[in-house]
Amino acid sequence: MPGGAVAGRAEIMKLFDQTGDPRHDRHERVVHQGTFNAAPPSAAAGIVALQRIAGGGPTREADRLAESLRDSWDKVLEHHGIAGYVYGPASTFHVYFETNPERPGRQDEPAGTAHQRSQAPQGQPGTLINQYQRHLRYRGVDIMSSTGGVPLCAHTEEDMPGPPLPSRRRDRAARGRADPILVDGGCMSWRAVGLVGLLMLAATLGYVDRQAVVAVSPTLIEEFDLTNQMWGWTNSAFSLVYIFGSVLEACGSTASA
Amino acid sequence: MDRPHRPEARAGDQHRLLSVAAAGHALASDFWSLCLWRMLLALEKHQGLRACSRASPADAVAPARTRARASSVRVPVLGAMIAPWVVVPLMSQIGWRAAFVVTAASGLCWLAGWFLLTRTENEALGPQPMKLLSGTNAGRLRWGSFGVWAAVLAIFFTVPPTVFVTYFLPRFLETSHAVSQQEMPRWLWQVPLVTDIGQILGGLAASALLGARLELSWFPAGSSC
Repeated sequence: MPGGAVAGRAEIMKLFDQTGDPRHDRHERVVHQGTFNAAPPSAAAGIVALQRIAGGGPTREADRLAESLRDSWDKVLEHHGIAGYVYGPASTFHVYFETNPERPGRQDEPAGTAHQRSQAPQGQPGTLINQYQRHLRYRGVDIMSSTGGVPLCAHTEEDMPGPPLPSRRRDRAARGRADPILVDGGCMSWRAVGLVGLLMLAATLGYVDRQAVVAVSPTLIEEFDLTNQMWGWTNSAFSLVYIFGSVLEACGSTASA
Repeated sequence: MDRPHRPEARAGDQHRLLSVAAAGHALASDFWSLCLWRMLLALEKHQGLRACSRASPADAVAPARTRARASSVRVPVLGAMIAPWVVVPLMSQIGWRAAFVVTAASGLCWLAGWFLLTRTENEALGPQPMKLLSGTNAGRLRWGSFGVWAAVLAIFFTVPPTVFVTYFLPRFLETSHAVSQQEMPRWLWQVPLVTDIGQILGGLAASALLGARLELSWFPAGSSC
């Protein structure tokens, strides 16, 4: 079981102390408890990290990425007409979804007021947050917090989402590739409706072809002088080829899979 | 980027061949030739119709959780219901051989519509629906799985009675109840209707059972910290 200790000058170590002053303990005290905080590898990594960020470069890079992320994400919300905004200082971001229809919409909102409103956002429903996190996880992102997160200097531009796609057509294309549901604003596109309709018609016509012989069977039986057994074999010929064709194809699919 | 898919070749070819085999019934002259055309029809039907029916709204566009329910609303049986109403009047007017040709020719009209809708590359469709159409996404069939044999047994016990009733109902109506050929459509559409109702109920039941199982496996979501 590795062990370690954090030591430092008294005036610095005092920052960790609980003084009993609620304001200090809640807002000013440096929180240091954690599972690995005093472990030697963590401490060593911490020293190296501190040395690297001492110049300010990594911090500025994280801030820049966060600002880029907030800007892109906000544009995505605007692009899709989602009531919400993305805000946050330094290298953080928070996403707020408006669920109260009585609050003013964002279209007439002057620039900058979004952040002001974010100081006192209304609570977001837990179900909404759960769904939001669930969809992000489905796409490989775990933000580990309510709706926000903290980009790091280890992130790159490739980790950041791009700007919203410029045209509605490309937007549909992207969604079509990502999802088999060919939707446009919750409805199927006219082309998808047409294709599905044609497929349904094809299936219907196929059955008309198949059942036509049944409809005219009294005439066929009389014209070809078929017995019940012969009529049965006529349809068994169809069924046997159908069954064995399907089995052979399934075996072929299995072999090629 | 995935290349846009152009599905017209496979789906169109299959339907054209299906229609050719159906029209070929008009050339039947005896028991053996009728068997031959039935076999040719089955040969193409097991591919063409499978591609079309699998790419129904259920598989092509329905989300996975609602797919079983959507599958129940497939429409192939609609063709069986309307076939007697279409074929018998045609036969009365132009004879049974021409009736086969006319019904099969309707596939060419379908092919024209399909060509119009798919003549241009359609990037909005994406690969998944077209994979369903082309049949290249066939899943790996595991013969040892319970599901496969459950399906085989279900088909084994349910399809033969349906096929028997479907094919011999006209013969029974004619010999036992003296129903004429022209009156036949009044009775023949009911069998596929009942079949479809059973299919819908089965789809709803399967969807309910599937939904319950998915709910159990749905991972709990919540803030991690």
